[in-house]
Amino acid sequence: MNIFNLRNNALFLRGFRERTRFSAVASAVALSSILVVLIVLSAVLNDNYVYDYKYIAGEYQSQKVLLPWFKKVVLDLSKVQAIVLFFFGSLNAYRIAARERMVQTIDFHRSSPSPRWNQIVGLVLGSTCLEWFVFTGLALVLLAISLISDISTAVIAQFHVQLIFCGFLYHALFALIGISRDPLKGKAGPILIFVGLYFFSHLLFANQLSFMHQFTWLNAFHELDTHVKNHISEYYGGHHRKQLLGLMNTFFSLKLHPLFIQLLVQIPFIALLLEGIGRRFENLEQPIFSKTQTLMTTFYLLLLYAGSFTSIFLSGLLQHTHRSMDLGILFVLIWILFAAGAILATPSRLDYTRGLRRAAKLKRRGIRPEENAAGNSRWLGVFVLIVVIGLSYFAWLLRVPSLNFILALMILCSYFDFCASFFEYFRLSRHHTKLSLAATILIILWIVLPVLGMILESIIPKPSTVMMAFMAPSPFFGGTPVVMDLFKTGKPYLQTTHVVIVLVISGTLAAVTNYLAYQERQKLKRDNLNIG
Amino acid sequence: MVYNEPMISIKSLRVDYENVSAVQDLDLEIQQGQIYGLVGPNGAGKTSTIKALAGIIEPTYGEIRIAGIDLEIEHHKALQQLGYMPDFPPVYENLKVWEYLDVFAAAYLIPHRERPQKILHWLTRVNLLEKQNTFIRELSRGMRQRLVLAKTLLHDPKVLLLDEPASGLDPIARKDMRDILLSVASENKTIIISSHILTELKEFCNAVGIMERGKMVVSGSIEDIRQRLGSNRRLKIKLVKPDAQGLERTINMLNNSRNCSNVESRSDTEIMCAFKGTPEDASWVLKQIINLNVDICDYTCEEENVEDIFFRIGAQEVS
Repeated sequence: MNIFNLRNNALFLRGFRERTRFSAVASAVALSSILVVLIVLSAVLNDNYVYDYKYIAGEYQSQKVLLPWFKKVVLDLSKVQAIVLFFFGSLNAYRIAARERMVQTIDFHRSSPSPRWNQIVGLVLGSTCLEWFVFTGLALVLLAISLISDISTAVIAQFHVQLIFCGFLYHALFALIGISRDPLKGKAGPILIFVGLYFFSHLLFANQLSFMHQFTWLNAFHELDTHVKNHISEYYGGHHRKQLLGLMNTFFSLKLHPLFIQLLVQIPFIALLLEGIGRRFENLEQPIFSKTQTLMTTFYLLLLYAGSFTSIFLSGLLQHTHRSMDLGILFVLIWILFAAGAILATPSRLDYTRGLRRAAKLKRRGIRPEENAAGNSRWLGVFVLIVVIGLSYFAWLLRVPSLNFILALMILCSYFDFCASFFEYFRLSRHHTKLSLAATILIILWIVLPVLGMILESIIPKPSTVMMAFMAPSPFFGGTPVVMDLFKTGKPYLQTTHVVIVLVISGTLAAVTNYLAYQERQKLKRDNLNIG
Repeated sequence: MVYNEPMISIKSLRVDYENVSAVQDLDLEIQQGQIYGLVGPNGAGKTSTIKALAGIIEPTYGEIRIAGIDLEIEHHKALQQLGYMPDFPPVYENLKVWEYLDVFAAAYLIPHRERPQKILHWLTRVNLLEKQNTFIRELSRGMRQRLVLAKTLLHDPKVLLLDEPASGLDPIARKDMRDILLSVASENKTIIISSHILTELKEFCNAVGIMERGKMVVSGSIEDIRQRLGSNRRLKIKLVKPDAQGLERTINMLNNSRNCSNVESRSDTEIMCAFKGTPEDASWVLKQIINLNVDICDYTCEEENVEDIFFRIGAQEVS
């Protein structure tokens, strides 16, 4: 069945019918028309100025330039389009997908023979159809203006293609969050996801990483803005806008077409998010992404980070004296990818038991590593390999000494092993329902002990060694700062003893939790593999 | 088309949830045209069994075949044979009645041109034709249940999975639902219907399975179960007027009869007891009562119904 045969697509019909009632369409058309008229009137009746910067006699000097009304209209309408498509579209994608889950009509679709991709496309497009209509209407207005003015139609068209892909990305993301909302749990989950995404994106934006900009519509808008004001040389953040924009379109210092680099960044994630929605339709209990998908995402994000970072690093356009900040962001990204991946890759006790029973029934020796029910050991191995490859590149780029690099990797991997094994042990053990127990242990190891170390530092002699011993169990107070220090090319802040303490403690913790997780797996195997 | 193999075949089905096994090693075969009542108290595993059959939950293990098609291997093909109706009606409040059916007609791959006809047909069958342009949010609970039933039947499935279809309905809506189900049942469809309200099932089920704590306690046709578990009937004797001596003489006689047990007087004119004899034995008992000079106006020998079997088997075997 053709997935674009929307007339026969159940979920599209559901969204389309609900959202295109006469009253809703009439309101949308009326509001959009009023907005267009107001924007045009405002642009025609008011003088609009922008500032043109010229580099004269060693300094930038500004000059007021009058912006023609139609250019002002194009820029303002493009912002309205973005608000309609991204804000209202994403909101409705989330709302309708969440309701599908809350009312449990999703079960009817899941028990129907409708092809999976029809369900995915239907959910995403059906829930946002009204926004797409308004977007198309405004696009026609913009195209009409481009035809009667000197603004290139090709630029307007490219801007819209970029917006369309951004729309798909956001709508897929919000539909996935909506459809993942558990009716038995409250709204806290989605809110936490949104807050997490917000802070995470700000963190990466702060570093001027081009791939982060490519995740948003900002790059498309800056492209349009630059083309519309083509004779104006704006001064922005210490640099020419055109130069900054050029940096946003480079990957490993290779200049690419803005649309191409946006698609390079967005298409794999659109596919991933749509696949996540598909997995929800397939089985509501399984993780949103498979183990393989989390690993591929980790690899791809590190690749994008490396490509963007290299461009900034080699351009010399931005001052990169704060290397520790850049590295800090890289390690935060790695930790976030690790945490998200470990949560998805580690099975619950129930899933693991199910997997064992199924294996016993099918007369297999155990669960296959790629199955959702499999433990996280294989996943952890591949994750570590990806991180090692990624960090090797950064170590080469930043000229990190080999011994420092090896020690940093050993410490980092010990923490990964500890966290993954602790999480696996906890999920598989009989304590799996006692979240407070796991949280207490981690708070002691990661917060209480480091704070105690800081207190002891002020009252006993040889403070830094003792403090380091207390800091070492925490990957945030002990591990990552040591790893970052080892990545420095200059004189290290920490002594060799500190590094050894951290290595020994993190290694010991990893070994202990690894053993506990192994024992728990064996115990469940003994209990379940003979059932059949 | 008549299938030689069972229309529904379940082998070693197990469904686990956190800390509990909802269904344990369930084996079941249901033939074409059978109306199978899945009986059991709340939490017995009925809904989990039906959801596993509908492909909504993934079983821990086990094999499910619908019309000979393996649900796990040929998922979509198997689902095409199924119609599933849960115990409460999940509906789109902001759609009209016909739109709702149109959405699910598309989900079941009914071609665009055939959909209006089918929708009209099923709206007529479930008595909702005059409501076709009404928004679902304006429908009563009973109407919503009928609408969901129409959705379930829309693609003419061979197998119907109905999970407590009359739950939450008032007596009139319950009767409407029962009438529709009886008419559907006459079309040689295989139906699994679950309920913990036994009176819902006893009128149209020709086979039952009694579940308790995830296990099938007993399963088969009602006649088959009766034969396996011994035929149990009930004798009901009604006296013309209150007669304490006559009542006592009759009770003594019944207590001394080898076919009667659990003799009890329901009122000063009514006696009831369990009876394990043939119709000839029942006739002999009647003669004995007449010989005792007791004036009776009603004498009935009733067959045990699904409800009685459930209480007897459920109470004995499960506990």
